[in-house]
Amino acid sequence: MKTPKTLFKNCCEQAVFSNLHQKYAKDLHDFIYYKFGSAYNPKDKVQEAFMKLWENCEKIAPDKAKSYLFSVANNTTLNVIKHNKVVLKYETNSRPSSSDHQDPQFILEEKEYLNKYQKALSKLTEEKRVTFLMNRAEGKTHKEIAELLGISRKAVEKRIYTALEQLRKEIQEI
Amino acid sequence: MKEEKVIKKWLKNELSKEELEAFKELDAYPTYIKLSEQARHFKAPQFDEQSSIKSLKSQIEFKQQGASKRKKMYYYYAGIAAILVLGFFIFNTIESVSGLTSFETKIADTEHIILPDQSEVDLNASSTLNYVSNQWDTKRTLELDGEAYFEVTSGSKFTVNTTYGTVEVLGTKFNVKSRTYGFEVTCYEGSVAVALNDKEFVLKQNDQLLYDSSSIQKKKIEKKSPDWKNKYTTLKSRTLEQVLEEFSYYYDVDFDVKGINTSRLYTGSFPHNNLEIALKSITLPLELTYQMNDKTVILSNK
Repeated sequence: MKTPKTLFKNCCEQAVFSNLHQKYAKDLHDFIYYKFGSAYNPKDKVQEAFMKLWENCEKIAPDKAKSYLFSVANNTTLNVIKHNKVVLKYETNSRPSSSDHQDPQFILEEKEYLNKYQKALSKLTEEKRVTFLMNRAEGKTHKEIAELLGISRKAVEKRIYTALEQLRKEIQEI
Repeated sequence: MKEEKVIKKWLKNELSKEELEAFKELDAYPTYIKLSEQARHFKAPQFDEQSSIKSLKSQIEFKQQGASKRKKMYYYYAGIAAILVLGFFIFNTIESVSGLTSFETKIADTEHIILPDQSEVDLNASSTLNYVSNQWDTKRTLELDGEAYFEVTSGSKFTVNTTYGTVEVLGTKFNVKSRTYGFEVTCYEGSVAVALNDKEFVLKQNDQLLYDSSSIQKKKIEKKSPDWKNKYTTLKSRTLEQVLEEFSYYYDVDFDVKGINTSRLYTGSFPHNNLEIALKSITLPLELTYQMNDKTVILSNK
């Protein structure tokens, strides 16, 4: 689906707004989550960003809405962080695997591993972490990520690769 | 370097069979696989789009209610502002009304008027002329009901508004006649533009525009000034009814026309300063007789 560029000059139309929400709300949420972790309430940031978009709908063309949403959500989160270096905390949202017949030691090792993984992730730059997790955790293609973040596919490829290498080394060292 | 290429391809899911084998040969292969697989544990929590848009919409509604309340306040302020503006406007109008200069001539009366820019107006009998004197410098506009002869000094646009249409000039001599039965503009010098019934007519020297309910005519005249300035009226193919109307502008009499046909046409002239001759000028050609009864003239067939 293409953004109706010529049809609507701004985002004030309910249908346009809903459409934008449907298209970008989840990606925006994931972006904030991967970038800043769960501590900053990505869902609220999504709401804030869309509210801002609605309030300024007259000034924003639908094809500019995506970058507007991403920068608003990014900035409002940064405002909360106020430049403090934060320890990222990810919620591992599923148990290592269907646990019934797992060896307790194996479970422990898995847990250890995820802890290390988490630490390593938090040491990545925001850019690399967002790109890597959008690809590996969210399963987005290079192309989709490139469009979403407004960077080239080559840059996406590089970020994911360096993130992977960095993670590997980090986890080995720990 | 080759390793990097393979890994990048793997990350893009673009490995061929041989490349996959090569990738599996790598020492770090299990680590990569594990890293990739375990990444899913860090997947962002479920994002419920439905509840998100729902809460957004309720927020928007809430804000709009607030906005409409604010709007009500705007209306309130707008109301006050409107009253102020209106007050100012009324004040201004009163001021300009106070600058309204008005001339009115009675029956058989004429008036010579000199406008602020030294333009001259001769106002014929039974006519009114209005203009706003304090706006004259910026707007040379007059309202005329009746007949007047203008000698306009050149300058900005000079407009005469009548119930029929408007006459515009820059500087010239012309006569405007706006009576109940018809409208006449005669140009004696320069040129004038007449706006009438959404059309524009340009009159040059010695052009005359005649308008009545049925037709618009343009014709040539040879006179140098309007007849009324020489105290007589010339009419051509006018109904008796129209002639009597014209008559009443110069003589304070009523006509009793019972029993005669007022739609007969008359061509001729009558003086403005002698009632007896004037009445004869009209009745004789039409083979009518008249009888004076105080201020009423009874017309009858011979």
